Amino acid sequence: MSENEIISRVLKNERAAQALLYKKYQTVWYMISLRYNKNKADAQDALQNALIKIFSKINQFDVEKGNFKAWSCKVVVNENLMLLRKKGNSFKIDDIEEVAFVPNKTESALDMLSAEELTKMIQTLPNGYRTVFNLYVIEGYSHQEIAQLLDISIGASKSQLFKSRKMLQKKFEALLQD
Amino acid sequence: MSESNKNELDKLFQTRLSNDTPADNGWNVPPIDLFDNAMDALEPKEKDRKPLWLPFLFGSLMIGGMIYMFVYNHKMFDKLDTKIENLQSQTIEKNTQKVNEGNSPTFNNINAEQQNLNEEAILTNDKGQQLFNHTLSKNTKNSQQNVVTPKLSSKVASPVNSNKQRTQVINYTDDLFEQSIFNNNTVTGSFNSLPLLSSNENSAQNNAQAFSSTAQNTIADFSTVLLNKDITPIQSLGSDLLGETLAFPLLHNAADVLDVQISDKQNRFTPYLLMGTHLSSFTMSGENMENASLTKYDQNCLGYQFGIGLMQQLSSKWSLDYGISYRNIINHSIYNDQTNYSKSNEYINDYGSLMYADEMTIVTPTGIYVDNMSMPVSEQEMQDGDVLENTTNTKQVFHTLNASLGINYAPIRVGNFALSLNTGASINRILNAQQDMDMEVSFKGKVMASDTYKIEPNFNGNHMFYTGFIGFRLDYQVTDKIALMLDNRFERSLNSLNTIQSANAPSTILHSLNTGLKIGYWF
Repeated sequence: MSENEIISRVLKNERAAQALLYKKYQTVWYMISLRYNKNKADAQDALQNALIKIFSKINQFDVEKGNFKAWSCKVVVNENLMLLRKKGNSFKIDDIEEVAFVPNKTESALDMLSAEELTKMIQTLPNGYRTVFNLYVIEGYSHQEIAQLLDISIGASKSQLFKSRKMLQKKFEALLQD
Repeated sequence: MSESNKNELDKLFQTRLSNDTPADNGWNVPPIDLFDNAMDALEPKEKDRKPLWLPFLFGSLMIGGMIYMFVYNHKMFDKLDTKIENLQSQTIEKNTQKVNEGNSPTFNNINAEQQNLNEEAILTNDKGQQLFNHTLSKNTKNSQQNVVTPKLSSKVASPVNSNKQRTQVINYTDDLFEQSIFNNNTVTGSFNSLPLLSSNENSAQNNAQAFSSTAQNTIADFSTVLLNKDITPIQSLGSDLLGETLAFPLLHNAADVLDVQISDKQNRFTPYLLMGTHLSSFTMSGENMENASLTKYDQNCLGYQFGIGLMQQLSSKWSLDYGISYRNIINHSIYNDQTNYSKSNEYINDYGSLMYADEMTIVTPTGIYVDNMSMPVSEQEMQDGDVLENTTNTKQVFHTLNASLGINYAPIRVGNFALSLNTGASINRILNAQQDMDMEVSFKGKVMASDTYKIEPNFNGNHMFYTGFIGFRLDYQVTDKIALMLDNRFERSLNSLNTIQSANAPSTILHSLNTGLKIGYWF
């Protein structure tokens, strides 16, 4: 059964079709939620809310024009951002500051890291850093888009990205030393 | 960090995390029940739509009520117009018949009835009284008196417009009289001085003079009014009661029956501006909190309101009040909670400090919020079961749009002042809300963590609430067109403002004292 056929059956509220669609994308959606949250419990809450949104708003998705994966991932990202906001997390942070240059010593260590380890590494980042890093590096948003999305300045977005990269770099170094 | 480092790092994350195949250890696979839970949550949401009929019904009733009142009023006035016209044509018909009958005793009786009406009307005015007495003292003079009236010739003796009056008398011959019914020009020429068209100082005398002849020759004045299309009955009605009575004695009674002031027809809607204060508090019932308490929510907080409205005068004492206003409802509350420390929630952060993370529940009058709070605990030697005190000060501000429909009854009027009682209902929509929460966690009196949040309440679709109100209004007429109205209302919500849609959720009722200054303008 093609994806469009599944979606058209989902539109008729067929539970089996919903389950099929979920099975197909559950890993992608869950990985997004894991990246945006500190722990699994929060990620699962966010994914559950995102599923409700996806299946209740699927009629807004244009089967002919759109890419369902991209559309649904956007819904999951937005839901995660919304939950972070609801929990009172502020994305605002001080402006960009000078950070000392960190030499590149981590290439070999990087190759050994699995997706799970990388995800856990992202989870250890503070909320603001993690969110901006995910949006910029993984989702591919520009700083301007991030600034609008998170209601922060472009400078703050750049600053948080810079700091998140630096923090990850430090973590890689620590791994390398171990 | 160099550009190449950046790119390497970004590429690594992009490539590794783009692989979305389920891992063998299942780290990237959500729990099995997550989908079922989501679907279960989706279904009740659809069922929850049921209560939407309530606001819809309420809104429809309000709009329907307004439309009904508007249409009803128009119909009422149309009815009145029709009634006036019917009465006029009936009177004309009757009198035409009587004129044709000539000397019939019935016609004399009608004349006598008309004369009685004149008496009532003229007696209300001293000058009229004199004229009336004078009229009564005269006897019949010619043979036509049986056809027209025995008092007709007395008009000649009237001190005002005696020449004109004489002319009228001269015109009142049998031939001309009949002609007057069918020939508008003749009659119009003779009756230009009729009181219903005059508003000069001598109107009372004119009324008395002219109406004597009018009453005796009712046919003449009504035919004039009807035939002269430039002057409609409504236009010709003045605010002067005597004038109205004299002009249309029967019609005035019709107006009384319908409890309508004819003069109100052209200005019964009065727009107004509103600004004022809003003193509100909440009461809660059915809350079930263990080791916790919510306090201060029942204390009054001062907000403000402003808006516009329209008053519709139904009669001299009754009016309707349609209003739309913005209100900000403010509430402060303090939530105290106790939780037991659990070592399983301890962790070590990136800097090697021992931290404690837990979900803190914050209860507010309109909903429950959960916050993940982390705090350093390395300085305290915390044990399982130690009691942590959580105190949260919450300030909630609700920005609401209020549409109200009220009815006013004004029993007391003294000079430029009027006191009225009012009651009604309103529909309220929470446009948005803000919550400022100051949270503090302490152990044995020592503050371990504090945080401030600005959270938008999650209303779960419960944005609407309905209120009923009762109050009084003091009006002061500043000028003919401008009035100041001090409106005081006690208002109470009819449904709960609590956002948790559950049978066990507490019920939160809003009480408020609204004081508003209204500035009304009569067009």
